[in-house]
Amino acid sequence: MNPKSKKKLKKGIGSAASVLLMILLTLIVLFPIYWLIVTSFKMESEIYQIPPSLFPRNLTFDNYLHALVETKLPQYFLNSIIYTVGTLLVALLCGALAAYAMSRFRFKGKKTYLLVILLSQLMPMTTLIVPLYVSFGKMNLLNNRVAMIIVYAAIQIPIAIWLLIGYFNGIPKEIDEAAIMDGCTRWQILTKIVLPLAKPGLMAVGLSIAISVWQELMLAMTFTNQDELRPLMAGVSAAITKSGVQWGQITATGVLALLPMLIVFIFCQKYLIQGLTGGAVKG
Amino acid sequence: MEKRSMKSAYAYLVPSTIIMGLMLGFPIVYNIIISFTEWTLKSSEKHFNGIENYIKILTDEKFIKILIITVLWTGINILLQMVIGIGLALFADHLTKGKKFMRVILLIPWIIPGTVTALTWKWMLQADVGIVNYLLMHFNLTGQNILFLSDQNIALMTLILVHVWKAFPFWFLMITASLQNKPVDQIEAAVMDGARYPHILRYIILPHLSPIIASTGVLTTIWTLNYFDLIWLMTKGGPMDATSTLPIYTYRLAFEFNDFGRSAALAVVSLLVVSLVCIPYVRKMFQNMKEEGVL
Repeated sequence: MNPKSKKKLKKGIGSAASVLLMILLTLIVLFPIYWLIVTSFKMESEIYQIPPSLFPRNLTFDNYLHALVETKLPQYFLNSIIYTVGTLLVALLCGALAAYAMSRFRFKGKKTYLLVILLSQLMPMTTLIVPLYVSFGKMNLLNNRVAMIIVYAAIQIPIAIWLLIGYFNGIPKEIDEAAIMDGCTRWQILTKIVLPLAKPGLMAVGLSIAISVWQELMLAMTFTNQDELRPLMAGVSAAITKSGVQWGQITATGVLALLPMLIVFIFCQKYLIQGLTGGAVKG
Repeated sequence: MEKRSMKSAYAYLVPSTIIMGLMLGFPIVYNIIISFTEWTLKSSEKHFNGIENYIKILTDEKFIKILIITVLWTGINILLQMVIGIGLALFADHLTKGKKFMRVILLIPWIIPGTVTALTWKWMLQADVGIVNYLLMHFNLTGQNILFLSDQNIALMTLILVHVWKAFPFWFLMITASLQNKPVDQIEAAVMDGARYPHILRYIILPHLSPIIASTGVLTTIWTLNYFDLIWLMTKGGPMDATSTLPIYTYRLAFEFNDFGRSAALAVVSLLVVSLVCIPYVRKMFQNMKEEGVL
């Protein structure tokens, strides 16, 4: 074999191995999701069949019908949307204001503030849960929408400030100075110039906030125990952890809980990646 | 002008400071107070008991067990996430075709909510009707059903693998982002000089990646240490505490055993552990900030 064809062969094996690895990875990542979806469309009797069927023999929507009509799922969904949107508004507003000050002003205590923001992102949630549960209990704030939103906002504000400082710093300060010359106030600079220019940053930060609030479980299941106020994850988790799980119904619920995330993923991938890597990539 | 601008700077900080003070600052202080208090459901009156909660925890045999489990959970998790994440990022970086496809696919586990991940894998790992045992039996990899979640020798490893499945994309993403600005000139020069890939990897690419590996390492260590959802939903820390990590046990102390005092004390211990891990990270972040002129 001459060296040239040997090299070709080697390259051929290399790319074949790459393709194989890609297929394997795709399977490892996608199969669990496929299995979740397939199970949700099977009848209860087919679900426990051995050997399991890779595709439902009798496609049924019963599980979805049950989840949507006979459980509180629609209410949970609505609650999750309320918590997510509420947190988004509060955290973005507070975060943008603080990040603007951090990016544009020099002031005493700036370093300390930054340290507090950084540390509070790393804080274990278990340090919050007992004191908040006790205080909420005393003040009658358990099962309270506003209290939930404010807690979630408090957890998200530090990361929002942190990421937004980065985006605001990317906007040249010369623009500010020119605007001041033209008689703009600081407030106008923020609302008319900085915020519109930082729109991609706001999108990225907003998405990362929305995703974590949508997923949050520990606080949700501790601070809400009425169906009218429970968010989705707390509702679903109650169904998973009780004994005698009906896998058809629970997988249908899982698919429904996953849908909003998938939609976000498909349409906003770019912002998603930005929000995820933005805080640390420069590090 | 300077003075005025300083004052208005504080005004911008007011809303975030109030909310964070109320819901983060106050609870931490209150948590510390509770940790020095005898506060259980049984003892109707709560009273200051000094460091008794801490002594109880630190002398409890269970505490050592939980600490070991937490270290195993975090250590093995990070090691696997790191190796897989870096390996795949280097692999994807080499692809000429399918690069973008791989990036999209590998991101998916990350965006799936922990609750959905938990229920999906709990279903697949059911000992009798789960697909994983069926496949293992089918390919003769095991003679009998493996009790993935109820055998105390296996449960922790099962949970670690499921969490790695969910969490390695973050590593992949960070490394991929950092590979976008790898020193191409240096690599080309090395290739011209006849350097082989392992050498290029060892002497050019890995040194380029090392800062991002360090910061991702600290970040994911803290996240994994504090992680709650998957473990809670799949095993609740069982069987026989085999999967009880610090956050799981802290939560159970409060809401299953109704011992708020000890739970609060354990939370303080967790806080100290996390602080130890994150000191170098915080230092590095401040350095960066100074270089960028923010401070």
